[in-house]
Amino acid sequence: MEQNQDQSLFDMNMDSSTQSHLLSISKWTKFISIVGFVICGLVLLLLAVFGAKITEQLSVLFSFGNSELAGALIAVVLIVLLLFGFWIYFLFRASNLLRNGLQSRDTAQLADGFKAMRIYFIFSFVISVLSLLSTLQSFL
Amino acid sequence: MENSTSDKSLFDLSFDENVKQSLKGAATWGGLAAIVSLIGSILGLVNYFVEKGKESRYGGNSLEEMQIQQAANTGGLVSVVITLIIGIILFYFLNKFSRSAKAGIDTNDHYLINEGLGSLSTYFKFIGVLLIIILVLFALGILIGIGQGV
Repeated sequence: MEQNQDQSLFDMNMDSSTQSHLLSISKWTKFISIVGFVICGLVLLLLAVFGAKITEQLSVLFSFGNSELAGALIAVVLIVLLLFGFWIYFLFRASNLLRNGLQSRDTAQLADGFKAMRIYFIFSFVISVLSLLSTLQSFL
Repeated sequence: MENSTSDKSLFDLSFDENVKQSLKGAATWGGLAAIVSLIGSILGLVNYFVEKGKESRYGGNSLEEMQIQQAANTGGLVSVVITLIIGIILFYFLNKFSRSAKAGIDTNDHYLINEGLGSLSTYFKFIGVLLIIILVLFALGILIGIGQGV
């Protein structure tokens, strides 16, 4: 019994290979999330600078007749950007927590890192389902 | 003294119950996201052929219109196939992470957890490299655009 307990205590230590994988995950997720934030920022900047012009062009292009529908389209883009921002934020959070957990050898931070990654994957799942539904809709 | 500190730093980081449960949660949702994403990529390819079938039924008759349509179809097919290949590769690594990590936690097998985390690392590395390629192509496009503008 005691031997079993010792076994469960020691056989799940993180060796250097596991820690190296976690460090690599942390580095790449940080890179991906920073690029995501930059893209979000650039789109917001473009909307802020050329928002009125884009609304006008969309009204003409899709023959909306008025700029209200084009404005609604921009509002949808903003909501999508907000969701995208949250999605990327959880990846960024996971990256920071995993790195801090490894550096300070704190398993609570590592656990929080994996929790943030779980939320990131939940977002990925929802986005994939929405994309799937959109593809299915085009079959009809 | 030094030995004791070194031993502590090597062995004090472990998969406790909290880490295991959090990792299992991430692995479960990662697996679900991988499956739905792969189905989406496959449906994208099916959708391409369905749309192509519709276009050929209602397509233009002149030679020029047919050439434009053919060029658009080839470009569309290449982009759909590339998307499908990327989708399959991403599915492979994310699914491997999900299965290995969950099995490793359930059986208390350190090797499986390590294998799963290795797959997750490759998954993010692959996305990162893809992003770099896209950014380089985007920058090249802008440079070519500026060059042609001048």
